[in-house]
Amino acid sequence: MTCEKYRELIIDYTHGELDAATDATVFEHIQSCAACKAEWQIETSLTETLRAAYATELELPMSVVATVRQTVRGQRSPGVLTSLRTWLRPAVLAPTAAMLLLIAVVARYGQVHTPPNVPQVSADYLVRQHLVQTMGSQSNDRAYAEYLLTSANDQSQNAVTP
Amino acid sequence: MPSRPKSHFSALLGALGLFALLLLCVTPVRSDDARALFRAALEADDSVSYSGTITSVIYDRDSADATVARIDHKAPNSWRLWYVAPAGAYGRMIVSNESLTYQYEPKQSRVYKNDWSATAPGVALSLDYGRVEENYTVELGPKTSVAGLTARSLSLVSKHTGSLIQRFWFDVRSKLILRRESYHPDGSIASKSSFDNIRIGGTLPAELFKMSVPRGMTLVAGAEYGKPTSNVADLHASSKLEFAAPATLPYGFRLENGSFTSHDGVDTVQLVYGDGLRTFSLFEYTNASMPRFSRAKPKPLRIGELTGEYADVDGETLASWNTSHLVFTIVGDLGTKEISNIGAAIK
Repeated sequence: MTCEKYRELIIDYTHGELDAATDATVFEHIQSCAACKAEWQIETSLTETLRAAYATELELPMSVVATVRQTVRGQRSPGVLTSLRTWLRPAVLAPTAAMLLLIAVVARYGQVHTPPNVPQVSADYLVRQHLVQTMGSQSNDRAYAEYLLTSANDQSQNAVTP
Repeated sequence: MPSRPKSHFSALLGALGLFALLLLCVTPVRSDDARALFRAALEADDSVSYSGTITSVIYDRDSADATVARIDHKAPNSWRLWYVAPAGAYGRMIVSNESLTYQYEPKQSRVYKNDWSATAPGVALSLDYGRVEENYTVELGPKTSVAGLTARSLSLVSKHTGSLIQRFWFDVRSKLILRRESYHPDGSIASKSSFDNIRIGGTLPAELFKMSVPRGMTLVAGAEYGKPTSNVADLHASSKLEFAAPATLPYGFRLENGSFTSHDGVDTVQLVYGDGLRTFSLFEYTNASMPRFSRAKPKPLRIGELTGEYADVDGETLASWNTSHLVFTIVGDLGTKEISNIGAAIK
């Protein structure tokens, strides 16, 4: 094997990536070849320098930060079609549709029951109206019916609320 | 030899007689006797005076309300009720002659006056026995004891559905009704009232039933109600709105009366239907939305092609729905299926 071939293997040797037999061959060659040994020492030195650099947190230079921000601002916003495609994804569309349907149902239900500015008749009042017209019926309990009707004497104003 | 067939025949006759006797003892009486007892029980308080304490319970689907009242009755038509419960009515006293009622409210220093004969003749209406017997069978039950008295029960069973609608127990001697239970068409209990104690007969002083305003109290008019008419043509002419009526009704029901009221700008027609025992009212009104429920939480109910809502209110089923120009509300002791059918039949 020539020195050129050994130098191609020096990076992998330095990082321990070679199989045991090749690793032993390269080791032997470095011990006997001064030029290849110098090449190996340069690679080792560079590796150590990089390791030391990653070991501590370094702040990015302000010029780099400024460049990154400028690039982000300068990026174009996605097109209408791209946005639409994003919104029409099933994962987004299904819950949105369900939510809109729920809002529509609630709005409609609310409209039926409490339309604005329309008075509401009290359910209790309608029951008393029924009771008073059917008091002669055998199905009514006298003591309870009298109690309900007399309870309404001071509540008649609450029959209809605006 | 000739005597043997004769003895077999006698034995057979004897066995048949014994069987018939057993049958009579086991089967409840369904005859004119039961109907006569039914009428006697309902008319007993026209001639029998009494004093007692009565507890009434009204059941909704998921709750119950009760009253406890002391009742003094002087035949034929004087009544005095003094409420012990619920707490809100404690101390309330009602004195009535069945057409005029004075309600004494000591906490408010007020006496409310209701002239039922003028505002709601339905209060004083007597029971139509013919209608009851047309739609219900009356079954006499065995002897038992209620409030320390010997009593028998009478069950009213619908001839159309076979459902037990009401059962009451009457005192065997005086015929007074001591206990009563009403049931919904689905068989669940609707209400129960029973005397905890009762003293029948004796003389009750007339002063007990005197309608007067004590010093320090003020007499005020009670709530007003619509005056009913049994003439629907009159109702069409006098009411300010075009109302509709169901084309078909549950078995045995028919229109009994109707009334028109105008309350705070809401014009309402009330049509009352009955089968002699059960009743329901159909309210139709404009200028207002569906009823406001104070306690009950309404549930959805399908009425033909429309969706309404229903809830139990004070022991009655109340269902309501609206069309483009009218709000319909049915109140009465009806099942939701019956209400849906009546609602879908309104033309």
